[in-house]
Amino acid sequence: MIFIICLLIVIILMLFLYIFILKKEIKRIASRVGNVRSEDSNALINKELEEKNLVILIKEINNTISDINKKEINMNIKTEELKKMITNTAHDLRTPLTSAIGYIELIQDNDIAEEKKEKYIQIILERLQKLSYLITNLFEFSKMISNDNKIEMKEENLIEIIEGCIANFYDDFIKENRQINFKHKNSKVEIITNKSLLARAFDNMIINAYKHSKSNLDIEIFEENGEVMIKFINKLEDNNLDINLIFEKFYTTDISRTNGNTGLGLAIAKEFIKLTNGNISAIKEDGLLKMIVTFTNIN
Amino acid sequence: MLNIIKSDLYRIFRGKGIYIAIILMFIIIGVSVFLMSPGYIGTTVMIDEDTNQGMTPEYLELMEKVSKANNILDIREIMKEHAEFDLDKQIIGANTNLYYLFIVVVFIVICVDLSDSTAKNTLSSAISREKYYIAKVCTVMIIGVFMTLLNNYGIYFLNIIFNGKSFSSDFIEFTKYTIIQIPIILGMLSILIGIAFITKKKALFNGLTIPLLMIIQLILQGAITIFHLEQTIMTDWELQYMISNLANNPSTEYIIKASLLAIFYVIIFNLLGYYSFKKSEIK
Amino acid sequence: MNEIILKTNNLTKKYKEFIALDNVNLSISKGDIYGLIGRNGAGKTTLMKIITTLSNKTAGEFELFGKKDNNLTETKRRIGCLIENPAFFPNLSAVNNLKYYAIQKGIVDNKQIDEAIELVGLSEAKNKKFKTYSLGMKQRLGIAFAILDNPDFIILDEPINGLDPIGISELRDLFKKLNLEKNITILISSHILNELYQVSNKFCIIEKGKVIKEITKEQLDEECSKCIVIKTNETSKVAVILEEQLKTKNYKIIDNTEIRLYDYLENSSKVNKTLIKNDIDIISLYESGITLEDYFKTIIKEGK
Repeated sequence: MIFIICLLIVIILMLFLYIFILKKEIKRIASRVGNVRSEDSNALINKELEEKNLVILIKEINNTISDINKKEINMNIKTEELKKMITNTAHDLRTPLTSAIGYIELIQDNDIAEEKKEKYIQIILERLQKLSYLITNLFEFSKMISNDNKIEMKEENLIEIIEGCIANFYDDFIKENRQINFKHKNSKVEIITNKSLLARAFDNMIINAYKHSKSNLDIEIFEENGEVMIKFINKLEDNNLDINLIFEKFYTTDISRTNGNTGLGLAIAKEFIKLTNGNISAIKEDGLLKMIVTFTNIN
Repeated sequence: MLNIIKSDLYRIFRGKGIYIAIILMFIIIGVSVFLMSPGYIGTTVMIDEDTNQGMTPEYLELMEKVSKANNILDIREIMKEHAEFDLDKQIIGANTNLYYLFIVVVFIVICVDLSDSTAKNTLSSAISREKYYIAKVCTVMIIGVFMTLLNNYGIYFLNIIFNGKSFSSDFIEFTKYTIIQIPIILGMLSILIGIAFITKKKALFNGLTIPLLMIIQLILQGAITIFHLEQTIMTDWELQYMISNLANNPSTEYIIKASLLAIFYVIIFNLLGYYSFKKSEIK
Repeated sequence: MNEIILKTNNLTKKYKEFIALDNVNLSISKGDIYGLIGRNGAGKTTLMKIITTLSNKTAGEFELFGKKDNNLTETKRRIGCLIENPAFFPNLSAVNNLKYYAIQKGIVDNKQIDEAIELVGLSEAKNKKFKTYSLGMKQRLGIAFAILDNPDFIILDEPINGLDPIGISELRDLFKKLNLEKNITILISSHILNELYQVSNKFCIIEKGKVIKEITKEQLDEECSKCIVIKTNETSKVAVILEEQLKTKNYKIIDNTEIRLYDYLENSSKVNKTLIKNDIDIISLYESGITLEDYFKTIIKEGK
């Protein structure tokens, strides 16, 4: 009889002890969470008691902390990009503007011949057009990083889109005695995509070929195994081109930067192609630069 | 702190050392049970006549028959026919043997960590030296008590199986005797722990602890003889005697004496160990 | 602006008569990769042991994450370290060794073990017993242990000891990655200046327990880099000529009498000729720049 009472007392004491230990552990976890929040730390919460539900709680807290950290890192990256962009853009906008102003002052100050005036006015126009192009790039870039728009995807004819882009720049190429050759087997290749995003992407790729090469531009389309591949091929001018970096924001070769390129064209192209569920890559081969765009969602 | 205990238990039961120690323990138990006589490692302790059954005529007759027998199986037959005593209690009276197995336990838990420098990994993380020390003490004591219980109840059940109920004591009584032994076992463990933290080196620890028991017995006996001290100093207080006494109907007074000694050992040796550890460099 | 991770104030350590650390003052900020350079026995390991509480200081103070050195138990959680030889249990595999420590630290997600092993390149050997490991593999496990529990500050004592060149290069990339992606501050010690140069942004040269010099990478570059030193009183004229005629902006005006040019290093005679052609009064023109080793030797000598 006494034995049973003793046993009961021992059991009750042990239960109290267990509750006490549990409470202590909960307090400790709370204190740790407080610490991790206030310090700028990589640390996660650890466990000191092997209690299943507390461990699950700790795992969920750790997941939350990790998510917050990731978001912070992303935000820092975006802020850095923004800062870089502002600096670079200010620099890039200033150049054609200063130049245009210089020429206007030339026209104002001196008595110069009509032809020269014409020539200067043409140059001013070009400078301002370049300025306009840069500003457009800027807007697109800012749209890209704010990620606000919902993208509408519908069925479009890829061939039509490409032909439209080619038409935009055909004259520029011809003026320099260069061709844009478009090879395709069918007259229709249907994919689900967003027409304007894709068109801008291809525009940028064609502009890129125009600016950084002196050769013809070949565009080829292949359909294979449910995939569509579009190749942009032109001769490589600058062998120092780092193929791993060409789609990075702000990457240009040294000479190009001084000619007023933002280095954003291909970065935007890549982003827009990704947004329309495509893939883009580039290789250097036999003195040629080949950029390959792939889509896998054709009908 | 619980984490350190958990991790050490994980490591130890993944290794081989502890299992070898347990197997050795069962071998000794098995032999003791089978031979129907407690086996001592080291100096054989003559159980004092006063505390034993006494030299009754039946006992002398029994011994005569036993000495005439040729092999162990015959001895067992004779014993079973003519004798009846609590063999299991006698065997756990020889539990000082566990000292040598405890050396292995303390070695694996503490010496390996300090000597091979793996302690620096632990101590440079979020643990203070106090908690580390307490955790190690707890781990050693948990394993020590576990092995003692394994030892004692192993003896109890093997004894029933091999020798039958006539040589076995009542389960509750046996449990009582087991519990009485625990404090001094903890004392023993504390001595080893203290030495481990003071020496910090594997070889030094082994060299000191393995002969320690015997050396102390020799010194004590020598002092008693030379200085004409009471023999009861030896028979009441020395470790091996004490454990054997505790298994033999000890008086309540004696149990209290033994527990106080045990508490003394636990406190003193842990304090010594801790202070030596606190100031030291971690190699 | 940056949080100060470690700050020592006249930190001293004496072993009886021998002075291992002599009034060491240094400061490590968040995000640094701090290279501690010194010869064998200079006190690098001693310093690391004191700041991780493995050893007790004799005098002075230090602060870790702003906490004083007598109150560090919670703060040590944020550190990972590999000090002296990597020590692990010989009969356990890499995974089990790390699992032992993961249990000790109360790590909830065991994936951290596999991630750490992968980051240091030990995935293939992770189930082999530690006693079979080569020196390089042991070193890697030590580093895996240091990064196991998401530290904010890792302390590595000669981590590239025993690694082959490819291993060293992989570790170098790992350190840079940890520093950039997770903003981990790193303290590395070595006696090989060239190796530390490739990763660190700050250096501290220590000799016989004393800090001889604390210097940033930019300052080191300046003091060591190869350049053409042009000594002249007409520094602004020279600057214009460099830009317009030699088409380079890669120069620095040190003071009224000295310009350092970091271009045309193979062709200093051309620079000479151009300046003379433009009637510049050149006091002297010479090539300068020393190797890191020579710089190190000079500093040690000066410190004596």
